[in-house]
Amino acid sequence: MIDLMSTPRFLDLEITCRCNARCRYCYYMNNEGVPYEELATERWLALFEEAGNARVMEICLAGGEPFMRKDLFELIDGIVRNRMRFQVLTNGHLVTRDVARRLKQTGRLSRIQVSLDGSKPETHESMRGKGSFAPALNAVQVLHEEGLPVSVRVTVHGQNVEDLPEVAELLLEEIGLPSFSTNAASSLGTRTKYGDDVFLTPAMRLRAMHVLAELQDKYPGRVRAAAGPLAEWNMYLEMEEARRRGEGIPGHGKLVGCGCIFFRMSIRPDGAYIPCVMLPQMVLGYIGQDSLEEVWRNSEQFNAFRERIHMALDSFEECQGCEYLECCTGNCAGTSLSLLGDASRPSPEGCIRRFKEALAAEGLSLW
Amino acid sequence: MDAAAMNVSMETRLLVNPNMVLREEGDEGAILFDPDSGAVRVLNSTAVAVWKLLEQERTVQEIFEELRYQFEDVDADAEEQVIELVQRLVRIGAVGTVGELLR
Repeated sequence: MIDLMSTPRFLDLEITCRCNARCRYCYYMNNEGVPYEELATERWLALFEEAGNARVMEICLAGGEPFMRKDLFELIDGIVRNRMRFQVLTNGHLVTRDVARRLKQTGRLSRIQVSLDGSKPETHESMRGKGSFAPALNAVQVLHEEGLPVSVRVTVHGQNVEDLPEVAELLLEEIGLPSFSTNAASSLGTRTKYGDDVFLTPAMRLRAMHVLAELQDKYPGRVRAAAGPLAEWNMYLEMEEARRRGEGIPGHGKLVGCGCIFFRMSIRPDGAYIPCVMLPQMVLGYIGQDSLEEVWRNSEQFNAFRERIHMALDSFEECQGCEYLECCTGNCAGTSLSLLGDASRPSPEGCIRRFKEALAAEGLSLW
Repeated sequence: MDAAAMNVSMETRLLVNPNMVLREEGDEGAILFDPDSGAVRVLNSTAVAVWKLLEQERTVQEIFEELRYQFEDVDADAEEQVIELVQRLVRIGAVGTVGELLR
């Protein structure tokens, strides 16, 4: 049983729905049923006061592109004033040295993450748009030079798999970042508009796993992933080892892929409370109308969703007969909702059995 | 150990750092969060009680007496334990002595 925190420790805020990039695999844009509107400064400041009183520790500012908001530093002042720390997720286009210094002066920045998908314009811009490489790289360099805790997120796709060793060399050796992380496009948002070509094919995904696993060995602790091919590779290895021992993985075998909902919550640009940015349609209430603490603790919808961790995978037809049943978490609820219309089902995306079958159909093998 | 922490006695009056955040997590205790450093420390239920008294600008003696009033069983070395806890909190910047803060 996972204990529910008294209040969320972290809030993920989509503070704007505007963005100066049009990345082809954006999870944020074009989610059906989501109104792309944003709140005025004072509404966010009121939320920060409420969050501070609720002892929230950290706010993650995302979007859209957070630096599109002219009042961003006014919002950050509100976070600092209410005894919280903050993170920023950015494409880096509007990050100048002056911006970096202002961020540093706050003394409360835990992390600023810049999206960079390649070591050169061709790979980065193939999904993120022409002219997007230089400002992103410049942002990473400036933030690092100013001594800020900058991290880089590399989204792995069909155009950059073979560039990943050069990305690692650029970020870890030339610039000297402590680490970087990777993921891949998920079945959310823009994906529904642009179709499947932004996704890794099974063969590409396997290749990405092998490339990233090699980099993980070459740079111990410095190539990370919470999702995407590297995270899947590490998880699949653990699952396979457990299967060979004839054991399950403790705590798995149920829909436990969503641990965050017991200590963090998200808010859309229009002020809607949602469990996670990957579940933008699951509205739990609205800031200004519903209290943060009330929604966190007593939202019937949220608490019902949290109950998914008790749902055994063997109760789902699609999992019957799977040899990894007791090793699996059921994967991301966001992609379950997007692909199946039901967040309380195992997601086909990330399913090891389906992946092995897809590889076999192409004459390939996971191991 | 820094001078302020060494100088804590039963008569010392204390103030908490107003930036520190105490997050109580059920009956098991709480975490003390320093937003300036990001440091998180776990406090047990006795330490939480001490922290709440520190928020009222008490002396160590007053805190100790209040604890003796609140809890039926108090260890023989409770005074030392309270002073040691307060010294730790002073050392991490969570608490200051009134004299320190006025200088």
